[in-house]
Amino acid sequence: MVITSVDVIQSIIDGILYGSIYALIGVGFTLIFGAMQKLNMAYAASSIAGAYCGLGISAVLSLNLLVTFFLGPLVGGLIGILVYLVCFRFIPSREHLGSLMASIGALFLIDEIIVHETDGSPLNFPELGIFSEAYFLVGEFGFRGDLIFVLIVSLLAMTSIILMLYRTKYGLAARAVSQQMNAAILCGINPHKVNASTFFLAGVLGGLAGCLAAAAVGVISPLLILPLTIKGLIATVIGGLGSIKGAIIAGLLLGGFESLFLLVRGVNERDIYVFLLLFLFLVFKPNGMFGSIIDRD
Amino acid sequence: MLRIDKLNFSYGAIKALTDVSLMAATGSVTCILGPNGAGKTTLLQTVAGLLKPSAGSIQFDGENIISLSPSALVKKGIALVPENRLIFPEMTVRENLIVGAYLRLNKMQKSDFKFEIDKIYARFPILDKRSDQLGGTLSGGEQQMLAIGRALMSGPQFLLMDEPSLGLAPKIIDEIFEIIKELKQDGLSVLLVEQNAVKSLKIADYFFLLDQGQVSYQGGADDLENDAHIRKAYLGEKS
Repeated sequence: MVITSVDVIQSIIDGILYGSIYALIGVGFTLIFGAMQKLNMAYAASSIAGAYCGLGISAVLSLNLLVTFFLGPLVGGLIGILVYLVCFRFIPSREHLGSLMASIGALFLIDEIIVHETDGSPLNFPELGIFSEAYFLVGEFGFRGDLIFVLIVSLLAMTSIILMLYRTKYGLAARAVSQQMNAAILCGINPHKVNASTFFLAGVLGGLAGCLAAAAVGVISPLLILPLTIKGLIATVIGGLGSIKGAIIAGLLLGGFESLFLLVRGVNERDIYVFLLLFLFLVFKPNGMFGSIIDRD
Repeated sequence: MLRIDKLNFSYGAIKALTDVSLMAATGSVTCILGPNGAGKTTLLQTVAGLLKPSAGSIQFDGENIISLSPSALVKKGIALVPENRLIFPEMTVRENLIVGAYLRLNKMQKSDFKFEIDKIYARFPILDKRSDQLGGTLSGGEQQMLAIGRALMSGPQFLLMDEPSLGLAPKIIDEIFEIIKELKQDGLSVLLVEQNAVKSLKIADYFFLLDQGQVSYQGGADDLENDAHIRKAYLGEKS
């Protein structure tokens, strides 16, 4: 097969559109890292679990897809609070490995629950109605309607989160806790409440990402958990730990990069190049694209 | 009035405060002097609710406040200006002040709010100039003023200050002490922790010396100045 420049650009376009899911997950990781300077390894698992619950509840009550896209994020948020309580709230913050290991445990637990409940087989996720059929041609390049939908919903969600962080009382408190926790406490802010809210919001974003990923792929399966965890983390690191803007841009670029190497090197080798990209960043630009160099004492 | 009775606190096996009793009268500046590691910061953090003492009581206007959370204490009118200032580095000066008023944000009208911030800016004109600058870019003295301004935004009656002169140039230290004097004139009570005994003598009404977690001396400014031992140990005078 001969790869033309049109193919290359087309695959990058598809990848960037799908990359908005990585961006969402990256923003979720970043929100939690910003709040506690800790990684929540169970994050992508709870996102997929949220999407499963949304799908399941809608199926049982025979509600439509719109409700799934509402319930998925909601349950994702609730699982987020649960993970916070189990893995973060009561483990002393100076125990850096404690919460990390606990959240890895939660990742496996959630994964196991999904596998047991579904007998390990993937479920069909409803297509996005008119969006699935739509296909826009711009010159020689095509834009898949469902991926456009994914991008728009992701961008709307991420914009809302940024507005919440910079325009609301919760956002003020969350930024205060993230930058200087003791001073925030002295101003009367309860950091546990703020962190629980942050885990909820991150969980909502994750549940949304889970639904979008499942809708774009057409099925939902526990096999989505590992790639979302890894690629969300890579987006977080490449963007610069703690930078929301960085996670968004890195997520989109990562999608494009991955799709390009899928085209050029095939599905078996694709992830090797993704990890190579991570490796290059860790060696040459360990603070990522927008990493903060301000020292937080 | 703030009244501390037989307060004890330990960091694990290390005893930081042993039966500390002291009083800080309303409308006055009370100063706690002592060397590094004497337990001064621990004492203030206990009063502000950041640390829970193992024994003893803390009363504020006759009410036992020892089990209250930091936010409940802020509501009661007790605010701590922490050691090393701890300002929010990636927020603007204005945002730092807004966080200071966090517990009052729902109750305040926009106009009240502007009035409160303008009051801080009138007291610290340099903060007005730096209003949109990030807190992390301020100089040490400006950060100290911001930390005091932020604490004032909670509308306190009792201000706890932890070494406000730490690491500042002599001229700035004079300004900070001048501000403490003004705060007292405005009716605020201040409990001040300091190592700078010479400057503190000029503004404080009453002193406690803290040494290895215990109160080793107390008295008014005159008593302190006339005590030969104290002069030698804390005012750097040669015998």
